[in-house]
Amino acid sequence: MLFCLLLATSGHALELSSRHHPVAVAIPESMTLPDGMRADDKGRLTCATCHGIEDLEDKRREDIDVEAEDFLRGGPWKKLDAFCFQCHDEKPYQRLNIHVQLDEKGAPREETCNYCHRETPDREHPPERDEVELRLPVERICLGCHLKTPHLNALAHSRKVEEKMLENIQAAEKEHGIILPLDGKGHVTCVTCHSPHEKGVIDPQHPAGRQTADRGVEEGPEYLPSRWSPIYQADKEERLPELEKKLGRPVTLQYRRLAAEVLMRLPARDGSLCRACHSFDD
Amino acid sequence: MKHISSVILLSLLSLMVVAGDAPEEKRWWEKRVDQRPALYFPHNAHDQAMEESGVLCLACHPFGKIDETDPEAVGEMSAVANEPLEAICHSCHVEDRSAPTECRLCHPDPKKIWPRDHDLDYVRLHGPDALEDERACSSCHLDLNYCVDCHFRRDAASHREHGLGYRLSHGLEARMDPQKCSSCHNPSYCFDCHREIGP
Repeated sequence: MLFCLLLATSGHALELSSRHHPVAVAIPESMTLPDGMRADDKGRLTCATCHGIEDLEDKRREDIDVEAEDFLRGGPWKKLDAFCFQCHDEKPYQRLNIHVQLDEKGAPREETCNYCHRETPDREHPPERDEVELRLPVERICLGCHLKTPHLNALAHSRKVEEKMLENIQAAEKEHGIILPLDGKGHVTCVTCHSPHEKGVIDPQHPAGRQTADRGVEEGPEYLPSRWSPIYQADKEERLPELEKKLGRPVTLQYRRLAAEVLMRLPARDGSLCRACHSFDD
Repeated sequence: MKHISSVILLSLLSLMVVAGDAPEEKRWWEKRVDQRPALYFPHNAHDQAMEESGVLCLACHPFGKIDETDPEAVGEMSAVANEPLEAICHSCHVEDRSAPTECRLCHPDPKKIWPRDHDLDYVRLHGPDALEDERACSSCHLDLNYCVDCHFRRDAASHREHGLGYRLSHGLEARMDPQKCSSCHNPSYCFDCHREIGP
């Protein structure tokens, strides 16, 4: 559904890529155009509807700045599909949230289990850790849906733990009655900190089932504004320009208070999760 | 031939030993700590105070969601995001003074944070700077005792602000420029005597 913005040149008139959104199509009655977007007098989509440039089709390719921030009305768009979802319903295009694993009656939705597991594990007799058969190695299985860098510091943590840290982890597992599983090579990975299972899928008394879930999976974590935010941003002011220059794009770093967590093995907002691995001499 | 083989074998073995002993490469934050050896941050000591203020690990080391997918760029961003600098530390230790204000607690070697003009003779030469912009002094010297400790000393002639016998003649200066007195003394300092013996 994403627009292909590359317009091929051919003499005077513009030829659209085959992946470009169709033009001159009638806008269905069920669809409401956002403010500022207009159809033509026959109720059809025109170039100007989305691009805001009159007679765009008569212009030469060289005369059009496709890199302009507002080449798509209302731009710049951080996510291109946000532009599309102004008119189109987002829901049918959303990916299945496989972490919503229980149905209305509290029974596991098998299709979500089989997304990662080769076979649906027996809930009454959960397999041992080394008996779990996943479709991909544990350190790679999350990356299919979640990008490699879903949050700050994720990559920095994907490392083999040292002996002292391993002792801390084992002590924390015992103290909190949880698991903090490492990958096959002893590296920290996504599931070390995050539980992939919705609360209640695994017996909450089982170490693999015990987790921090302040909210439902569909709601996700909650971040709130904090009095600390301006202090945090002032702290970064000095270094951000240097970083932006290096990366060649604007960078925003802000602090928001983590108010509610979900799918976490231990709470991060009070530091318990951090302390499961990290210890300090003073 | 046998000798050459032994030499090669020994060389390989020694290489393996060296490789085995090689310390693991330091993580980026460990390298940063090495670059700032003059800064001391005891994590455990901050635990209780930070818990009470509701500001914990994530306040300095945020794990917020990002859209960036280039691992190298994320590494750079994480480094900046992760390292608290002056504004964060000073918000408690300097600005609102809710934490201890002694510089040496965090800066064990004060020379690392001294301004450039604070050279050996600055103790003698600081007067004009202090008169011109006292706030510049107090941005680091939070405690007024830092001035008072020297200027109010009575056991050393060299540091005295006022000469011997000034008590008898201070009235004239006090009438000419009372603001000058108040740069060090608060009104109660005057009243301690004048309340009893009058003007």
